[in-house]
Amino acid sequence: MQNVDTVTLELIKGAIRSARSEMEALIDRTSMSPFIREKKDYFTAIFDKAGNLVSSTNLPMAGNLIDCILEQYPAETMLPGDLYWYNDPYASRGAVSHMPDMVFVAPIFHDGKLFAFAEAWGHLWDIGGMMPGSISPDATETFQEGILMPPTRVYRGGELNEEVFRVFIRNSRFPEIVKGDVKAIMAACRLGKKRMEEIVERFGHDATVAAFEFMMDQSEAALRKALDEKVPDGVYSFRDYLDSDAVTEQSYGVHLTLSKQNGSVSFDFSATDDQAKGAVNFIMDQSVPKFMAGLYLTRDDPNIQMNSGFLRAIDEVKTRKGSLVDPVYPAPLGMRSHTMIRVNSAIFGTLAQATGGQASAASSCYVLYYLSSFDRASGAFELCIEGLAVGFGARPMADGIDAVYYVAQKNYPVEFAEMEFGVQIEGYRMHTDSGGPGRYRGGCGIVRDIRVIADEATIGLRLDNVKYPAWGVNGGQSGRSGRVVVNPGTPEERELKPLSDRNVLKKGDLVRVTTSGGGGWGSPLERPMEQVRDDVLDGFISNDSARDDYGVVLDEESGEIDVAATEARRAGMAGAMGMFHRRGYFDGLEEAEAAE
Amino acid sequence: MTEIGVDIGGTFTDVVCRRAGAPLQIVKIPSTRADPSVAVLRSVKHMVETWGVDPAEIARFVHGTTVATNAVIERKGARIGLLTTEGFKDVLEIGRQMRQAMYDLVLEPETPVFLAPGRFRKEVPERLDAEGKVLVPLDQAAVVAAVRDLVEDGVEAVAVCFLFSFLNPRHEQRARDLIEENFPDLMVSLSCEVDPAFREYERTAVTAFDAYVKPVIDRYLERLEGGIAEAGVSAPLQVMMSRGGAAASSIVRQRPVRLFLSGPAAGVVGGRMVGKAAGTEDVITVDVGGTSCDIALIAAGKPMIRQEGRIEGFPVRVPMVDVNAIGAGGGSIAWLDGAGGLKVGPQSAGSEPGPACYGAGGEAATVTDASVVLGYLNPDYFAGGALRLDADAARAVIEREIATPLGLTVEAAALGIHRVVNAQMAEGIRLVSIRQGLDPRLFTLLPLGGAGPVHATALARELGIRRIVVPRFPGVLSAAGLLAAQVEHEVSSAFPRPLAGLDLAAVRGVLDDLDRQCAALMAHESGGLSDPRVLHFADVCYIGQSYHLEVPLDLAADDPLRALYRDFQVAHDRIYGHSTDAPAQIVNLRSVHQAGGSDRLEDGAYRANGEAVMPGMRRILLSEQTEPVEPAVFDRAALPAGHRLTGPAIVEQADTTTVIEPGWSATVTEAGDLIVERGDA
Repeated sequence: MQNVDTVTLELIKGAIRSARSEMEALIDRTSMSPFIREKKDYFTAIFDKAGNLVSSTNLPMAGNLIDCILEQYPAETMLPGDLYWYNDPYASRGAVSHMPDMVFVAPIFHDGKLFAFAEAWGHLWDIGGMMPGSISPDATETFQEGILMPPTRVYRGGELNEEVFRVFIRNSRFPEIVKGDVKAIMAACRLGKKRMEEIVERFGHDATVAAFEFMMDQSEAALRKALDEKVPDGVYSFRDYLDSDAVTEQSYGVHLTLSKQNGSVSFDFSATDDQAKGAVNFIMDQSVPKFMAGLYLTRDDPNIQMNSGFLRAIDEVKTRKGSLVDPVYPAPLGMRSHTMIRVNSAIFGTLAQATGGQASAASSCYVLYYLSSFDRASGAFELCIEGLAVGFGARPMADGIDAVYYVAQKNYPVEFAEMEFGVQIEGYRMHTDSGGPGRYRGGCGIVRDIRVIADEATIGLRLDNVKYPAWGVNGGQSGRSGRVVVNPGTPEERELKPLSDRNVLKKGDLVRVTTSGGGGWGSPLERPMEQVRDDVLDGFISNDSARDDYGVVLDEESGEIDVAATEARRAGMAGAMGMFHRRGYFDGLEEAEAAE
Repeated sequence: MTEIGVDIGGTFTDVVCRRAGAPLQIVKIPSTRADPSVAVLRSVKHMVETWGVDPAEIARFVHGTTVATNAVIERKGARIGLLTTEGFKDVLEIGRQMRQAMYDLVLEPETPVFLAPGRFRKEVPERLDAEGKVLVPLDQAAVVAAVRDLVEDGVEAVAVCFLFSFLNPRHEQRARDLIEENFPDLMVSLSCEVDPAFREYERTAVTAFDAYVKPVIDRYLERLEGGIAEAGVSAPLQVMMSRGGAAASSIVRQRPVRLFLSGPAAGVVGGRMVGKAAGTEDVITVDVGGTSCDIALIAAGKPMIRQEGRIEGFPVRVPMVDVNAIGAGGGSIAWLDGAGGLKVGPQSAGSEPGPACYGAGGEAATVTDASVVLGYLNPDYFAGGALRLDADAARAVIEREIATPLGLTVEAAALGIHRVVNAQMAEGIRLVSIRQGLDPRLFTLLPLGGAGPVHATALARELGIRRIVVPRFPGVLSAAGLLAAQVEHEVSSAFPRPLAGLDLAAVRGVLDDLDRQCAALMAHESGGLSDPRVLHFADVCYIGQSYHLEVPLDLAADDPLRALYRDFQVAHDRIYGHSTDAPAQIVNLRSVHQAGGSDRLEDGAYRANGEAVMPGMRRILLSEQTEPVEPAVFDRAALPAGHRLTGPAIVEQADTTTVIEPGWSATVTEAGDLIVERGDA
């Protein structure tokens, strides 16, 4: 390989980055389904010819997206103008981790030689299955979650394989939307391919390929350095819990033992609970925890990209076949993110132990509801899937972010939801007091009030962190739980199970979804009293919480701080009693709650 | 007739005076940051005393301002309150529940909460449905009570944003009436007027920004109007708006959120004018200043307009010229990242201390220092000789900061800095051209600002552009653009209707109403504006899409709606690379009225003076692959019209230096502009 100067390598890196952001912009602007266009549930990437991830959306999902295609269609059989697709989580060994994420891949050639792949996946609105939207808390096997597409060649040398396309589209409840989205995602792949062709034209083949290696080397070196500096040798174990798998009352633990010996790092998930009956199983490719740790530990350097370099810096990831993170076919997978988020928080939990508390507190799992409604007069069938924000964990030097969706995805504007779906949104506010108290406060969740205006409706709910709210760290306390209530404050008030499907609603019902907050960081008694007062004034915490959790006494009339009373109160309160907190403080491994 | 353009920049306030039959007069007056109007009034004094301008003869006085932008950047806008529909006071805070970087430990909020923190947001009972029908009538007593609380907490202005007000403005209008009756000193911004379009967060944000800058802009323009009137100027003050048109100060004070790109918009209009004079309507302007580079594109004589801009990363949904600002300018600092990668910007040494070669204590290696090392800048004739550059300091800082750590020669390090910054600018140009489906090779590059012409041929080479026009006054083109600007008024209305089966009469009805509103605004303008040009547009998308494209709508066409659909498909295919026969819909309708404006900068012919060829050759380095070359050096002011020169050459003038690489040649036009073309053109 020729010796390419670092300035040129940086220029190519910048060009690849911008090619990829262009792919994202195209999907963003031309897709049809609310999931993609308003919520931005998509992922774009560039891979080298061996299938190593070079540059991608900063979303720690699996990085082995090309492997299953190369196994089915060897590289030497590929032609310019080919396009491949799949959504089969088992056939791809978790490259795609639930079926609505439809993957498209375009091989890219220079002078007839394959040198890269452009990839894009997007979460499709509906691909069949037992319930509209294809993900149901009621699912007990993957066949209930829609059509499975093994690695398939949908374009050959620029020719569309129309039969396979028709078969697929026929399986959706919303064929027009899905068709539009697939077009946009395929166009993004073609755009990525075109831009990469221009890059290789501009800089030459060898320099471009050298830049791929350079980018991966950079990321590997950055992560090795961070591990070296931040994680002392040792063995650290943490166990985080999911509330349930929706179809049983059982809670599940994700158990991680992180060990570091002489610079060699291992993630062992073998002690994780057995796989679930419900759809929270997660086929965890080994890239996922590596990407999570890599993104977190290299966050200070915006020039480091998430790519296969991270995979080289961490030596092994162990899982146990038949466990929640290595399930056996055909376990259902639709809600795998509930487990994925616990994989992330377990990593934070081990890092907190390794760094004396210098890690973020846990964040809550994002929330979704699936409202299917039917309008008798028009015969119209509507599906409203909304993703709702939660509170994020507080950080070692800043509050947790309020009201965000875990993977950087947008909400629906109220005006959009009402014009599009048979609903009326009657409130959208911060969930006061949901952020875990701390020196740095956990982020707050939100409250969304949804009025059913169709004649008939059912609702599926995905709200987690009710039984196990997001834990606090280094003296910070856990976030406070959300809940789902129908017709609150009326004689007809009733609570719905937070993880459930096919709850029947009638016209006029008001559904209040309240989401959980993030954990706090550091002792709440050390939060400056002015910040506590401001949080009260701006609606993040109540007067009661200021007094009971933070020990800050505010004058009832003026709202000003009663300094003497606050100092006295704080002096009399017990401080933090352990590294972690969930309901009570604990240091090592937390016991599961007894089943109710 | 005498016309004045005054553009306020960070360092200088540029003044341009155009008089019939006379050469253009230009002066730069130091800006007065604390009160920018002071510099404007000083410039009036300068015109009168130095140029002998009779204030009474001034027919037009156009102003470009950064006051609105600075109020946001420095967080010095007014304390405002926000009134929302009951249940929705946190819309401004929650935004779109987005975060760009999920692992960053310290992140600023991605919503402009600073405009109105929770305690300054109040809810009032009222509600419209998705068709604009009243579900809950406005609780008028609640409006008065909420605003009373806000006034007691010291707010100067109130933003009102109710759900679905873009479909039915009556509740917001009634709220304003109540506020005006009860609190006559309070300023009010209504979302149904600032931005009548769906998506409540974006509408709330832009309305809150409007209220936030309104008291600041109002006081500023009032003082300025009074000041120039006192100086004897009878022409009404006009102000440049972000979309590239000027409007009477009295109207601008009502819609201040349209001022964020006042200055850059003037530069784009100036670029269009210079392009036209040089015989082209397709121009890419690259304005390289000290800290940033503003890139804009003009296609077929029309600047690209975007319907949603950003300020400080926050969405501002009002039309503005599509200026892509990147943090790369002459003062941008070169640095090495953790992995040893060479980066340039966005940190800048600014003007104080400035680049190391300024000799004012600058310790960082900047792009300007690299330009000195490479021989592009003449240390003895920078800014017309006003500032002597310290070439040794430039070499030393690049050696210390970049060359030694990377194991490179000083020259190679300086070339690396130029390659990186040029690549950033080229990427910025690709963004406004290729990403819009436009081939940059078909455009003329127009470098502006002090540093633009230094980088122009290198940029053109990288992008395959064959023609460059260096304007005669690249440093004051924004001020000149003010003189070229048309008076413009634009009003839009939400019109969410499918195209299929749409009744043209309904479209006409809405546009007639918008035309009446534009005409009423135009009636506020003085100065004998005859027959405004009337343009109509529709924002169109495929049904189901989130983003729309603005498409011209010609009501005189055979079948205007069919033509609209066809033009939309063509635009969609051009920009996104695919289109379908799927049904489309209109999102908004828009009417734009324009009047006045000019294409010529001055009446007097350009005359050269002095000795064209400067004494003293120097060596410049253009690439690592080639040896240093010895260019001829010319004085721009002395090059007569028709003069032709070939690269390698350097053309120096008081406000910039043009580097002409081998393989390029240049010609001076009758207007005094310099056209640089590829030799084999």
